[in-house]
Amino acid sequence: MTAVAASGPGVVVGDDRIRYAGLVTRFAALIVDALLLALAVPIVALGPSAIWSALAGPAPGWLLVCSQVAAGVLPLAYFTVCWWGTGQTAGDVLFGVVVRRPGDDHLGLFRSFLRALVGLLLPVVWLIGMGMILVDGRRRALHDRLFGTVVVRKPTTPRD
Amino acid sequence: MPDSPQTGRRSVGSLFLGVAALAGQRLHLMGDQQNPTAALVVGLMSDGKDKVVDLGKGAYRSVPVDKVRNAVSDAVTHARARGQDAIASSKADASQWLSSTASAPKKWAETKAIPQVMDDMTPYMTDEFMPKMIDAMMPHIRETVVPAVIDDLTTDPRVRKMIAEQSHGAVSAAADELRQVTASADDQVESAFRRTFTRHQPS
Repeated sequence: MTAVAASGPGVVVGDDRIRYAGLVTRFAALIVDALLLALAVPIVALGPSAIWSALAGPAPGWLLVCSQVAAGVLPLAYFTVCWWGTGQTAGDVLFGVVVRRPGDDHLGLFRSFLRALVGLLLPVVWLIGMGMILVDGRRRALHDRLFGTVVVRKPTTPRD
Repeated sequence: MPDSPQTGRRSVGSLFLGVAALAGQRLHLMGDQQNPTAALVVGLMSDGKDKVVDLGKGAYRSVPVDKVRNAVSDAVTHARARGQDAIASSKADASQWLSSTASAPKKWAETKAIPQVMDDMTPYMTDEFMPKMIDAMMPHIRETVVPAVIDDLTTDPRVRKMIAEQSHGAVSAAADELRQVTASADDQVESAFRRTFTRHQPS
């Protein structure tokens, strides 16, 4: 890995830059999360009513509504809880990155919720904002600057 | 004669003599009256015995008992020590002789006989005996031994732990490889971006 010197505000020069996850890693983690949600959301939306139908006839309306509400809330809850709890979604775990405050503190619940809400409501802005990773000294995207977060690599566990 | 009927003490000799007299009367070899010749012989033997006893007692009194006892004790001690030495040396000699006698056949067996037997047996063992034995044993091994071994392995917590560790290690290694690849890709993308967008800037 080659450390690249950066310029501009918030500059981190030299090897310290490699602590932060870059564009490819973050896109890859995002794709993994999107695939997981693409699988989980239909299951949550349709699964309970399908099971009900198989066991006891036509599903009641309240079950359909509840299932669809749960499916709609699932992505928001997923990102919020993951960032608030461990700082890692499933994609982040796979690629060994974690969302933190600049002082390496955990994100609070409200900050995690807002970060997830903005990302889900404005996905285009979110994606375009990720271009800032290429020019920021700490590889921060637009939403990272907005919510005061960084995405760092977890040190690899030494093997025997 | 000490064996009078009044005292009640009877010697073996008097009893033997009495039994012989009774047997003679029963067999009509002797009458009810005592035979004077027999009585003479018995009397001479009794007198002779008393004389011998008296001579022995006199000789015993005249001998210095302590000296004799010490001499006998010394002789016994000396003889015992000498006997022990003789037994020990005999054992050592016999052991040495046996080992020297047995070493030659042993060496011959080790260098000549056993290698020859092994060389002769090996083709037979490998070509005939072992294949037959394996063919005979394989059904039994397949039916009983292999399932038991598999059961032991699958239920052994050490084997399970080893498999889990190896699986975890393989997954961990793959994840580390993936992370290194993406990290390298991060750097390459950034380098390409910087080369592209800083090329035309004045230095």
